[in-house]
Amino acid sequence: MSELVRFLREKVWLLGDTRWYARVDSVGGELVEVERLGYAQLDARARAVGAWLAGRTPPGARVLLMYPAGLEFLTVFLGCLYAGRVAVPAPLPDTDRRALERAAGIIRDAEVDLVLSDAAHRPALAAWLTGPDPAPPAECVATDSAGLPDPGTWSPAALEPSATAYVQYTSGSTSEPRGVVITHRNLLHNLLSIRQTLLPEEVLDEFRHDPSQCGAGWLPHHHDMGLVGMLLGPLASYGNLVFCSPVTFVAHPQLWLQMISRYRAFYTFAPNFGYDWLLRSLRNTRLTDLDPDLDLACLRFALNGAEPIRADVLNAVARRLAPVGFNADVWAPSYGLAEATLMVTGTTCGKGPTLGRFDRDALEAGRAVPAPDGVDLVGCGRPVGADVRIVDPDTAQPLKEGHVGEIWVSGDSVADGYLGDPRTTAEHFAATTADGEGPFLRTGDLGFLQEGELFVTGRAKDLIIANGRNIHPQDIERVSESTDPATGLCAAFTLSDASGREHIVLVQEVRPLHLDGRTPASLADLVRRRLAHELRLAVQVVVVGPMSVPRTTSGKIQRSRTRDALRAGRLSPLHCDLALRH
Amino acid sequence: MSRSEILAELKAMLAEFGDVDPQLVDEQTAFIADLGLDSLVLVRMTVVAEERFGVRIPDEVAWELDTVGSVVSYVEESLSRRIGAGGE
Repeated sequence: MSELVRFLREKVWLLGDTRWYARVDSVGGELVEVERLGYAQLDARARAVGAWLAGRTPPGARVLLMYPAGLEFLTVFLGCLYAGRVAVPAPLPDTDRRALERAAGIIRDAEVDLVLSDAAHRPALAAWLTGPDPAPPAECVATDSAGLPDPGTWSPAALEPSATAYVQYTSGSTSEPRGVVITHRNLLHNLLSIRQTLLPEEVLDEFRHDPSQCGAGWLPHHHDMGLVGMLLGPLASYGNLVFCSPVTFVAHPQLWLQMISRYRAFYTFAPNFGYDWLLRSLRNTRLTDLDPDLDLACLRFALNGAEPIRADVLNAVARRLAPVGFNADVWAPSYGLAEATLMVTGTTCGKGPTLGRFDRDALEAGRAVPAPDGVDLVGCGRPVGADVRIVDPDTAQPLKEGHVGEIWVSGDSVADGYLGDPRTTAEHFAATTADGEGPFLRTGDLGFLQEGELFVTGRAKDLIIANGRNIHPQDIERVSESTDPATGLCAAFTLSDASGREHIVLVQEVRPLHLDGRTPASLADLVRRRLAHELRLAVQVVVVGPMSVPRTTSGKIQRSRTRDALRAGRLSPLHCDLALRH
Repeated sequence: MSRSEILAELKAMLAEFGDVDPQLVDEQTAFIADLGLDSLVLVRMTVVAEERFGVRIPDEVAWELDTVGSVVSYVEESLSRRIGAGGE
């Protein structure tokens, strides 16, 4: 049996159904538990899925999982691990219009023959898969009505730690999906490292002996944090989990607080935007109106990760929720990425967050210099079973503490690479420092170390992060350029306003010959509406003359130089949606 | 529910969830291009609209409803179809 499967099933043997997973929903504003499975029940169903998969797919076959939020997804994911089949989780099309396009890309890229879903979603998926449209041929089966064999017929697959566990589709623009190959070793190592770093021995003992310890969350299971952190984390550390679907959380943000309060949750977790959304949704609400018994004093650990962490959001949430027992010491910032399974650095339970202020000009010059009136930065904790280096991205020279450079990572949690893409894999996963150490994963993110703690100062080059969506500027630019014959080259990026809130800005070159008497303002309006319709993004448009967007010598647009030029007032816009501060 | 009642309810929702002044809203107003609403507000409004109006708004439909007037029309048609089919 795989070491990873043994590790997970060990918890089932030890704890049986004394620990559980439960999903809740909001019905008429009330929290209602809609499904629950104990560890042993979960394991039995996963073995049935494993036996069924072993009977109809070759070892190592890649299987696309397209499920709504719920326990069927978790049982099938575990079933794939048990059987030595490679799960490829993907979002259902009802969460995002481009999901089908994305799924088609994944089916092609991962050479998938079998798509698994539930009975409610199978008909639409099957119609799409057999239709004339872009879907490559693949069969679709609903596992909840498949007539699975007896769990006792499952026999463990002998698997090396280097065997692929699953493929996590992540970065890459819509047209070029990029699948990170996660091995059994990667997943086991990251789960164990997270447990060891985040949970001190006495806390882990509480979890081991107290059957009521619970986590609460709402993350999508097709993201690394939802899959590894939310769904697999509890099994690894003897806990229970209560969760709801991401859409339920977005529609009823207060359900998150009710889950924590009602189930006496010990921990919760979300990217920064989730806490910010909660805060925004509570603006006109009295907490006691929500639920007179709301009490968050049980919460001892609130992880914030997967996105840049904002100190003002941490402070505002803590202040807003203090009257119902939220303690600011429970904040646990972290840093990670799918290419390293999930977590790279994290904050130990009970330690509290490290907030620092650093001189803005010095940071831009590459040095972290504390300054009382500087930029607020939140420390993302210490390495979680990983070797983290700060390296000059141009010279590959390792940098000392307090110097800003690219974050490089190595260790057993770092994935093998991208599926079927040796060139990009070599670019990202095989970096060597100038003094010959390696291989390292190049994260593309910028940061510095201070007293062993990682501070992230800039995310992957050009990536736009808005409300939990990672948006590639190329996707915005492609839509805009195809809007009208008068829209030429353009550059998309984010710009923060005076309050620190980020806005998406598009600098669009005009082709004057194609304007046909229209004003630049009307062209901007056209582009804004097209982007709103196609991508559901509110974008502020700046129209400039031909050849105004900075390019490299080979003609590639330069987004950060365009942003700098706009900020410095060097662009002379023909039309501008935003009020520029010079 | 009449067209003007649906519009009034929608304006109230925009004020509640999007902090939008109802005075600034008419049937031509576009949610993203004019009001700059983000995807979280839109998802929340869609789910709450389903609950308050008692109609289903599938995601592929929601994506196409980009102005206030298009939502009012969709809700109006869904409600009248239901009554026509002997619902309520």
